[in-house]
Amino acid sequence: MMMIELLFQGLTLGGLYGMIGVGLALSFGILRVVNLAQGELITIGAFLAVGMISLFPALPLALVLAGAFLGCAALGVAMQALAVERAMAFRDPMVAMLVTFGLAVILRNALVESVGANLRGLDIGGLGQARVTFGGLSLGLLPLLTLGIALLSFGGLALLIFRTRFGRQVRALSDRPEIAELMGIRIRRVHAQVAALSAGLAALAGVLLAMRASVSPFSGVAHLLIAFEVVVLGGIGSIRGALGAGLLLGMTQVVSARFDGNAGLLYVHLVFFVILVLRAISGRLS
Amino acid sequence: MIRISELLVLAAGLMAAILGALFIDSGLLFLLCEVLVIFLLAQMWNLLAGFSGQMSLGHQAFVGLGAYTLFYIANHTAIPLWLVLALVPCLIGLLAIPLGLVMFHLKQAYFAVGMWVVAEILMQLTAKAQWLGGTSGMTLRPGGTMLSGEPERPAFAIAAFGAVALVVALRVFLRTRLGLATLALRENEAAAASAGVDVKRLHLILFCLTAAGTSAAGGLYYITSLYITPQDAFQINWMITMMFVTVIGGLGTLTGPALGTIILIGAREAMTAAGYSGGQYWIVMGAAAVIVLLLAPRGLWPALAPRIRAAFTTSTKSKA
Repeated sequence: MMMIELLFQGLTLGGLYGMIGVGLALSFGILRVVNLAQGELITIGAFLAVGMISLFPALPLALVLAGAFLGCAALGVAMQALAVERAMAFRDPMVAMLVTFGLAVILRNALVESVGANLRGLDIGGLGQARVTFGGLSLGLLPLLTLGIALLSFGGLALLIFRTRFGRQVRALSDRPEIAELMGIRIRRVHAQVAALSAGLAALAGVLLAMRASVSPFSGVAHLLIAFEVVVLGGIGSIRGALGAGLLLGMTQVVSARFDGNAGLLYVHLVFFVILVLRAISGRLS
Repeated sequence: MIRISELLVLAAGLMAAILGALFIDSGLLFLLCEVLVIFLLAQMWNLLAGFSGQMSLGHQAFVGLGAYTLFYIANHTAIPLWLVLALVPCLIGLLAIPLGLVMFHLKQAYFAVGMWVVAEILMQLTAKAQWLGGTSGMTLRPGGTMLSGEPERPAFAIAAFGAVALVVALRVFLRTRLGLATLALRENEAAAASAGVDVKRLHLILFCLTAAGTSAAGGLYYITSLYITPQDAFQINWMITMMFVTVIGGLGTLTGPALGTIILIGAREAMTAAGYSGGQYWIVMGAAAVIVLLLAPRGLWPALAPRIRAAFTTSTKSKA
């Protein structure tokens, strides 16, 4: 029974980690920029939800998620249009990454200045304790909901990328940017849309994370590192890879928290590092 | 080899370091020590990121490693504190060899964030290590007794002479065969490789050198603060400072980090005096870094230096 509970928790957390990772993979795969502000976007999504709930306690979850998604998407577009797009014009790809590092520092400290440095949790009323029973198996409603939303987001993203005109443009841009431009794709617009989508996904994951555990303005770094680990382990541009890597890390986190309560993300980072060393030794690293 | 003018600079630096340590008052010495440590750290990060093109976002790992190694050896052995400070960079430099061999399998952005993960692992391992004091940290008690006297005076002398010596050493280094290879690497990695530069070996050498230098500067900083915790020694703010100083001042130049240190510390002191909070200071610095990157991606010094030189030559010409 405990095993099943543990597996289930790992599964839901893993879905969330995968979501964080896929947002980062999207911007890295398409824009060729590692967005170091991704962790901050996740945290801001969480705080947007906290703010909305404290203003309108009766707001349905769907609207909270939509609000956080739109808020962070707007922020993502603004960052892309004002700073990152310009930085991408330089020959050295590291310039754009450093710009996002600067933006992350600005966002983190702006968040501290506006909401304070305290930990906040998302108050979701009775939802946190509610349980549902399947054939003698009692599962928390919240983790179930989280997993559902995560899987829906993955499915929606896959549909968007592989089945729509926008997705075709994105894939074309990712494969051959110059030729995509020749074919009449408006690159800057697609870039802005991808930045919005990536930031919106970050916000969704942020809201769901804040329902599990409290967040602080300084949570961004931990979130960014998880996202990065998911991208490296799962491979860029692979939605399924991101889900698999998220599950591995989520499972690690849940199991290690059972045996060593105050280790934070130590074991997640260690698992990542060990896999990295193994890949380095066997030479299976791109 | 080393030029007469550089020997003179070294001698002047040594004089200034000793005189400063003897006569400047203690409060100012603490600030100057911090300024010099930040300059040393930024110069190390610059050597790796600006010259070798390996951008690390985890160099705070070496600050923490250096400081903890120093505290542990000094507290548990009879080796004199300042000798331990000389030992630390050798140990951390050696430790960096296997780390570099693994991390260099990651390229560019992957390497940068991968190093960050390493720093995070080290911070949490240190916090769990009860023999290092766990989360509550350690006090510096060389040989089991409290440090007597004013450690900021010798620390300042070492930092000041270290800063001058580092710049001179880098200038000399850049004239050697290996240094020329480094410059070639800065300009174009592929071209350098095709001209016969062993890029991997050079990357590893520079990685270890900067790890050693960073650990020494970190150790020096925590000698003046006498107390260390994992949260403080491995904090991301070390990295942010190194990066902002270098990026604002000038990546891949020796003068850039000096200019950047003056700008960052000057702005911090001015903003603190005017009553702004730490958060507001970092917002302003973040904005400054982003703006500089967008307008002059190599930093202020490379953008300004030709104009300053041009202004000088025209003014001397018009006089003549």
